[in-house]
Amino acid sequence: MLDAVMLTFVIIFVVLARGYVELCDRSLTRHADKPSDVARQ
Amino acid sequence: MVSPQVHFIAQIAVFAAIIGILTRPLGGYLARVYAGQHTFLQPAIGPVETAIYRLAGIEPDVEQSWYRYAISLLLFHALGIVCVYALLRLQSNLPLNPENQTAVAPDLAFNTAVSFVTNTSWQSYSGETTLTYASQMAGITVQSFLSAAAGMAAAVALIRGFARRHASTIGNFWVDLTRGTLYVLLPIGVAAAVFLTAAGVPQTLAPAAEATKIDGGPQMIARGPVASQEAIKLLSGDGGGFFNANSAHPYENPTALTNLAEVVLIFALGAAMTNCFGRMVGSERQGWILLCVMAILFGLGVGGIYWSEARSNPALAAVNLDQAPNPRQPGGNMEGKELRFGIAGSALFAEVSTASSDGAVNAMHDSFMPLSGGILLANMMVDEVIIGAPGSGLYGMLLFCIVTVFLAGLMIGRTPEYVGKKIGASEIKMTILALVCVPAATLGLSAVACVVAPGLAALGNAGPHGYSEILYAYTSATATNGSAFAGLNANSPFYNLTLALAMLVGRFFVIVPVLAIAGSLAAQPIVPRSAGTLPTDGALYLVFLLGVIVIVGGLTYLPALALGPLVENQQMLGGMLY
Repeated sequence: MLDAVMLTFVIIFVVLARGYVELCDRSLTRHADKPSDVARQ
Repeated sequence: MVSPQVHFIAQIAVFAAIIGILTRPLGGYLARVYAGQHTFLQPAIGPVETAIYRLAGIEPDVEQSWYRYAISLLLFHALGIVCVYALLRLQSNLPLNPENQTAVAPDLAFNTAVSFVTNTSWQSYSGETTLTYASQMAGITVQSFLSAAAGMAAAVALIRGFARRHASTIGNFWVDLTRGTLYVLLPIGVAAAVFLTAAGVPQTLAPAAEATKIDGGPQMIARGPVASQEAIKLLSGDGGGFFNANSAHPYENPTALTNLAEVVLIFALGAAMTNCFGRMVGSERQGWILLCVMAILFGLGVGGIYWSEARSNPALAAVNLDQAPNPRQPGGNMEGKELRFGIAGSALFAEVSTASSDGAVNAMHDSFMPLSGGILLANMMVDEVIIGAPGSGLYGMLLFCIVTVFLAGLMIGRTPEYVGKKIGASEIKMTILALVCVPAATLGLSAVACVVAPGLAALGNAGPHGYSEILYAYTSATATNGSAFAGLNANSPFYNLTLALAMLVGRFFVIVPVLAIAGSLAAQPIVPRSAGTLPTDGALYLVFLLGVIVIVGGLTYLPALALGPLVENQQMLGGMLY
């Protein structure tokens, strides 16, 4: 029973980490789509 | 009698000289390995490398975007957690179990699996009474290799981000992982294990030896495959000991010579990574600047610890206890320290262990004076950028470099640049994300542990010292250090699970933004140096970088440190001990 709980923690971690990667990727893509402050300068 | 101060300075000088001598050749070797170039080990290791690629279906010439690199790294670590967890739960049914160890409890197995996969090596267990030889070798030791190789791979990916222009890829995670393990960690680990065995560290699969005590009673003396685990424990920045006493145990660290060799092993790769960085971005000077900053912070830390430990404890002086050095005793605060290392060897090891991400200990940090404890905490709180673990130390320092050029750019009205790359909004966002996650997890979880019953029930001491024990545990976990302050009984479901969470956040919530920065930078062109560029290879930048590290660390953690070690020090001066 407890083994299943621990395995669930790992699955939750993988899902959260994947979401975190997506979040970072979207942030980078958003900046790439529009001219950045650096590019305007 | 040689004065203790001379002894201390001599140890530091020899240690610094060895690291200084090793940095350039080792850095050059690392740069060749990660560039896929021919090395002198190619004839021996090349066929093994090719066989691994074939068996695993890896195409070594196909590179990955930062996104795929990050996903590969995360999946590899998730698989590692499951494998180590299964090994620990099933260990009683597996071979190499001469002491008939039982299965590890689920929460402890989860904590241990996360701990070693994340290169933290926090240990809520005693190795000699909990783990079988199979778990030590196939679980702990294997993860020490792989977690260090993964950290180095992430750092090299970031370096490629700085070094490349208009690139959509930052390397291949599987290739970097394999080459780092085969060409760097394995050869040095084997050589170090042979040295340690020759110096008296056991390497055997025989069960514990039975001895007869002076009073005639039996005593079991634990032993096992210690040297092979010890070598990679130090080299990888992992730090998880075979024995509960870690490097204070005479079977892990028998002499003053092995003590020196162990601190060199802990720092060698982390220092060499700075030179590898300099070479890969085309200016070794950039790497030397980073190493200088690390050396200054290291010098301040080790000097502070020695000063704090060598002077007498005023509370003990009040009861006329002799704490002066003489031929029969080293003097100062020797509680929790091994006589064969003394205060100098203990201060050096403690500073190296917390400045790097290693976390091995040769003395009990709980017994250090309050100000020393504060320095050990501060070392970990600055994201272990003082050398750090192989890879993670360098990318932590590069995050501070990005913040520094950004702040300097704001001050002088220029677009921030670092080694030819413009630092834009996206890089700054990722950097801040990486730098904020760690203190948020450390301070948040410490606060929770301070107010809930399971958190307080584990304390070994009251007052500010007890608070320091909690703060140290979560700081060590999020900084992927793994050293313990002792005094805290962390083997409870509450601490096992919350510390595992802290380790996961400390490792992956930093690595992912680092890889995102690598991908963003790799896509950019390299900007030629101009009159408006802030030179990042000179003394001015060195001072800026030092200031940013100290101020960012100070602003974030000073209140927490004030409540623990600083208050305890003031109370000790007033005669109150905990």
